Amino acid sequence: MNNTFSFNRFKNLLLKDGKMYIRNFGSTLIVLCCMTAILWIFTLLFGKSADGASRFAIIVASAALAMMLVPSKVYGKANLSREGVGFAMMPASSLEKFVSMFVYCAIVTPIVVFFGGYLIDAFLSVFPFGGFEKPIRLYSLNEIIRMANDTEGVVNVGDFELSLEQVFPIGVMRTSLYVGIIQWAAIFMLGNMLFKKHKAGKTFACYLGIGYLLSMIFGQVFLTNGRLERWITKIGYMPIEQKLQLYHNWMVGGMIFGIIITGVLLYFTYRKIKTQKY
Amino acid sequence: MITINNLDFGYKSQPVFKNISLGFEKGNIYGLLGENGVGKTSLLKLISGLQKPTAGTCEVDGIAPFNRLPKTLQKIYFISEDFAIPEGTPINNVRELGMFYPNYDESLFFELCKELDVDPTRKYAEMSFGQQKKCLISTALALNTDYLLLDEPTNGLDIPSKTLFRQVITKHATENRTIIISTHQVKDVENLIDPIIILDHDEVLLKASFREISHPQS
Repeated sequence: MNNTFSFNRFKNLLLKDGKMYIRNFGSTLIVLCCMTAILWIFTLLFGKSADGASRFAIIVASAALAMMLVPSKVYGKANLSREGVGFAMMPASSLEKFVSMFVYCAIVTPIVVFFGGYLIDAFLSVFPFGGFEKPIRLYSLNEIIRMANDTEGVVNVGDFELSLEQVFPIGVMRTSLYVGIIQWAAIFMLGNMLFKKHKAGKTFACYLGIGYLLSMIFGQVFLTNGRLERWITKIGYMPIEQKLQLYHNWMVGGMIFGIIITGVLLYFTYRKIKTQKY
Repeated sequence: MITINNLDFGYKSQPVFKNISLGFEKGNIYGLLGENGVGKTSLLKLISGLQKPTAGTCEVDGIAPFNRLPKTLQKIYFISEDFAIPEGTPINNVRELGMFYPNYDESLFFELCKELDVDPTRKYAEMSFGQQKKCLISTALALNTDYLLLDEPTNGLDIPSKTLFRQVITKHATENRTIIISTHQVKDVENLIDPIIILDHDEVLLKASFREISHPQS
């Protein structure tokens, strides 16, 4: 018998967790998928229209909220001394339990909310009344970057006009986006295993606290003795190719940092599942 | 076989066991007796891998249960005294669990529910504590694990149910199965358990069969 990973056992665990997922999170998931419908009702009431970008932003926010809530709603009992006994003693390996948790928290939830939200939005756009004039499309990554930067495909860097792809390497952007989604899920998966009560709230508070602390530290490092000003001046004198290269390097560095952080968060979640005492 | 060697265990600064050694052989129904707080539940938690010894070893068929390997976990079923009520109905719950236990026997589950006079299609949440416990006992026996750990199983059961519990355990105890019953109500299980283990603060006060207790010279 393979005690680390067996596909048959994992399939059974996915089935079992899937039932638990629907039972404990199904109604919340439906509500979050319907957030654009709430916006649609508001447009009906106030006689205004909602553009694609704001509807898209609502779907993204709903997905983020769903990913915050799903670990505690579905696996909230996993680290509790009384209620967690069933989870701990389930004859599946810690790796299988972790991967199943990952599948539902980091993959299934964002996909369901994104596509559920889009479907509801598309359905509501069919009605001649209401403020959704036409369905929002499934935006490509280029379009998202374009929307986020409020540009029509051209970016001005100093005197130069550059194409979007020159400034934002699509491969790095795509990977960073996926890493960001998984990192968000990983934060709340770990929080779910660390905290006993108010898991999502405490995790979010810690996330904000650590973010604030890091920004203070980086602020101290970069903003003292005019370091940042000197740096900006130095970059200003660089030729455009070098500037772009530097920018790309930062993006790749940020992406690698994100991958490492995500890996660490996921590893600690796995360790906690493996070594939790009840 | 369960073997415990020179085991130390405690919660933070409070020691529960100091250097205890014990063995549990197959085919017996062990009675784990002792006052409240002597560590009966802790010992069951150590055997089921829910807790880790601070020193020494606890092994189930040669493997430390705290490693929580599937092959160990599918041999053990533990019903804690303050069990969490499963969601849904007993039949759905046992079917979900049964996928993970190779010797699960659904017809035995129905037979046990009938013997213990509980309806497996009724939701757990709608049952009394005693009925929930009887459903869990049916689940535990139907999963056919080698080791069955029951923490205060007769608590919350009425007198007829206690009799039914004794009958069911006696009937389904096999030579391949080790049952450990932790209780402080010896009367409820006195004709069921043999050998008995009495725990005292930090240590094992006595481990002996009824025969040994009745005929100390032998």
